[in-house]
Formats: sequence, structure tokens, C-alpha cells
Amino acid sequence: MRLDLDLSTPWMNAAGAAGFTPPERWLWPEPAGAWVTNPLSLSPRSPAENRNVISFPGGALLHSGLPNPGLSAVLRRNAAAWARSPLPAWVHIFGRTPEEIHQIVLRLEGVEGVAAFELGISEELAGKDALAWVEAASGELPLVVNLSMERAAEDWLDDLSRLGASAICLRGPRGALAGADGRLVSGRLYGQALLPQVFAALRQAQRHHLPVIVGAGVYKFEDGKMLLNAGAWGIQLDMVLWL
Amino acid sequence: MVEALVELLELRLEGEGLVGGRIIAPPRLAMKPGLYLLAHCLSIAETLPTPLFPSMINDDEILLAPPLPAAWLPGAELSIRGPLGKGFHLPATTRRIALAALDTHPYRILPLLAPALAAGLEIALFTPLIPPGLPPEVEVLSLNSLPDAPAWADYMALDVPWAVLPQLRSRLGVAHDRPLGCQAEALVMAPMPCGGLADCGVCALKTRQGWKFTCKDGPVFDIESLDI
Repeated sequence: MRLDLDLSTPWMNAAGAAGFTPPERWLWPEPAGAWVTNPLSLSPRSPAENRNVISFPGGALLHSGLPNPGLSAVLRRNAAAWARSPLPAWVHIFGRTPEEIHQIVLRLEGVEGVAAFELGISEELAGKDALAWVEAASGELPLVVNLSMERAAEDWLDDLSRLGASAICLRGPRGALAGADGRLVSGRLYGQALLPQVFAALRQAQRHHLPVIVGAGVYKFEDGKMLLNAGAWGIQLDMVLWL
Repeated sequence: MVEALVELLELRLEGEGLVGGRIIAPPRLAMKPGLYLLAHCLSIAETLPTPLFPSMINDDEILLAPPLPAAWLPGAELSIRGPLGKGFHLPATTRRIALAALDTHPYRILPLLAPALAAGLEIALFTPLIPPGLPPEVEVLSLNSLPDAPAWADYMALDVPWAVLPQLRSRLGVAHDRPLGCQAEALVMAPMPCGGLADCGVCALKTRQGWKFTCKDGPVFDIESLDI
């Protein structure tokens, strides 16, 4: 039987903003209700060759390639901290195939402190393909489907609740900017400049009849409260936690 | 580690139009050469913190190496966190120290001057840009002379943008498979947005011991440990 997704407060970090251990530093007016791990894959992943962070007015583009030491190493180094943490851990998982996703889920379901999975849907996946990933991640723990906000209106999201997903999480869109050497770098966009798009995406995502977590654009407490008043179920904070 | 609010007391026009700054060090801020602070200005909506390196460390004040964000003005209130990372380790046995800034300004390695002068070391600075007000004990040399440095110095401290790392050994005149000839450390300038809070991976650097994070395992690395 699947457990319910539960939050004591709507605030949490976004995947990639706090590492693989619960955040020790939380400079936000209200406490966190959960914490989300960095993106985790079955096998180790090296950083992207052209990794970079590039600022623009109101935001920043970050491209890392989602490096991580892989499931086994992450568990070996961090499982004890997850078990000790008073905050429930949501493990953000991603993979190259549904089979990889399923293997990760099976390994993590019994790990103490893990309260939910957040499945990262890549930009290339949509429709039936994406649903196969969601199905592979479905198990005993609640499942949050994390995707770029500009995809909030896609029709296949209507099937998420049928597959047992508990919530949708909207992350920042991808973009491209020139680095110092003039070459274009593609990566995820962060920052306050995204806020108007976040509100629009929230309205679109709410049509899929699942709780919606906003995972981009919130740098001010008041902005987060406005999103909650507009119906967001949770708010994920990203680079603001690094200030 | 200290988290504090400090005032940006002044902007300092350094050589070549570079702008540094000055702050009063908050209590218990144990700043050392090569360590850095992450800072953001409270009056500006900034997305990312800015790494601040010292160019001079005194008892109660820190001169900040350029560049600073153009929007920061004198009197600005900065929120700082640090010191962060691992800095330079000047060996006690050093007699001759070579400082070198490769394709960048030398201000981030200047904090090594004070301990080097105090220890009576011979000091050579290899730089494309000569900071004003250097002590007369410092011999300033062109980067063209850098290949002479490993044979002369007991210890080298370099400032190297990460884009220059692949050329580092050739710039020092040392073949890929040969030892450098003296102990040498490099401050690797990479983007460090999270300052070790998130292992975000942007600053990842390949070393002989695997991937390391410049923000917390560096930014100063033993050159022989780098996989270059």
C-alpha cells in the first residue's frame, strides 16, 4: 500500500541546492517540511565538460551535468545522516531507462529516512515514454514528478494520478547563454526573473488534479506565500539558499 | 566559519582599472591566503553570491581583491560567509618563493607577501600586471621567465583560471610526466556558486584522487595532485 505524501510546512530545498545530506543552514523565515537530495543516478556520473554558471539580470544559468557518485556510494556515505535527520528525505532520482529507475526505487524503499521519491523527467521525454519512467518509479513511497515549468500544460500529465503519482513539481526551464569564451552553454535557469512564468505554469499544472510544488523563481518569502495563496502545495528553494 | 554583515568601506581603484574593496574583518574571521568569502549585497537583488578573496589581510581589516560586482557601492551592506575552502600552505623551510598569476591579475596571491616578508624570504612575482605599492623586496618578472621559476624557488604559489589549467605544465616549462622540481600550489579560479553547501558540481576539478570540488577541497590545490 502506498504511503501518503506529507509535509509539516510547505517549504523545502530544490534538488541540487543542498547536496546529499540534510541542509544544516536554513536561512528562511519558516522551517522546512522536507529536504530533497541532489539528483541521484544508479551509476556514477561525471561533471559536464562545459560545466558553468552564468549570471544574467534577475537570474543565472547553471550547467553541471548532474554529477553524482551513484546510488551505492551515496547510500554508503549518507544513509546514516538520512536516518538521523528529523526532516523526511525526498530522494531525487533520474535515469537513462525505466529499468534503472526501478532498480533505484527498489534499493531505496527500505532506507530509513526516505519518505518520497522525486522523479526528474528529462526534456527529451514526453507522452508514453515519460509515463513509462513514472510507472517504473511507482512503488510503496509517494512519488513527485519533477519537470520543467514550460511543460506544465502537456496532456500526458493527466495520466499521472492514474499511475499513482502524488504531486507535480515545476522546475526552472532550460536556456542558453554565452560563456566568457563566447561559446553557448545550455543549462537550467534560476532566479527571480522566472517568477511571472512560475505563476502561469502553476495555473496550467493545477489542471492535472494533483498537488503542485513550485520549484523555481522564489527568492522572497512574500513571493512564496503568494504562490501558496494561488494554490501551490509546496515551495522548493534553490540558489537563494546559497546567499 | 563566520556569517556576518559588514560594510563595504571603500572601493579601491587598483592597477589597470580593476576595482577592489575594503572591509573591517568581523570578530573570529580567521582569513588566510587563498581562502575566500561568499558575499552578497543586501540592497541588490542578487541571484548568486560573489566569492571574495583577500589581497591583504591585516589584524582588523581586509582588502578585497578585484573584481567586485559593478553594482556594489561604498557603504553597501554585505552579508558574508566564510572563510571557505582550503588555502595556501607556505612551508616553514621555504627560502625562495615564486608567486605567479597566469593570465590574470596577481591580487589573490598577494596575501602571501606578508608571511614571506616576515620570514625574510626571497620573493619573485611573475605577473602580467604590476600592482602599485609593492615592497622593494619583491622582484617583479615577466611571465616569459616563468619556466625559470621551478628551478629557483623552493615553493611556488600560482593563481590560475581553470581554463588555463590544461596549459599549466607547459607554461611552467615542465613535461607532463616530469615532476615540477619544487613544491607548488595553485589557486584555481572556477565558478563557485554554492560554496560547498550543495556539491552542485559546477566547480568540479579532476585530480589524481578523482573529482574534487574547488569550492571546498580547494580553491588551492597541490599542482602535482591535479590531473592535467
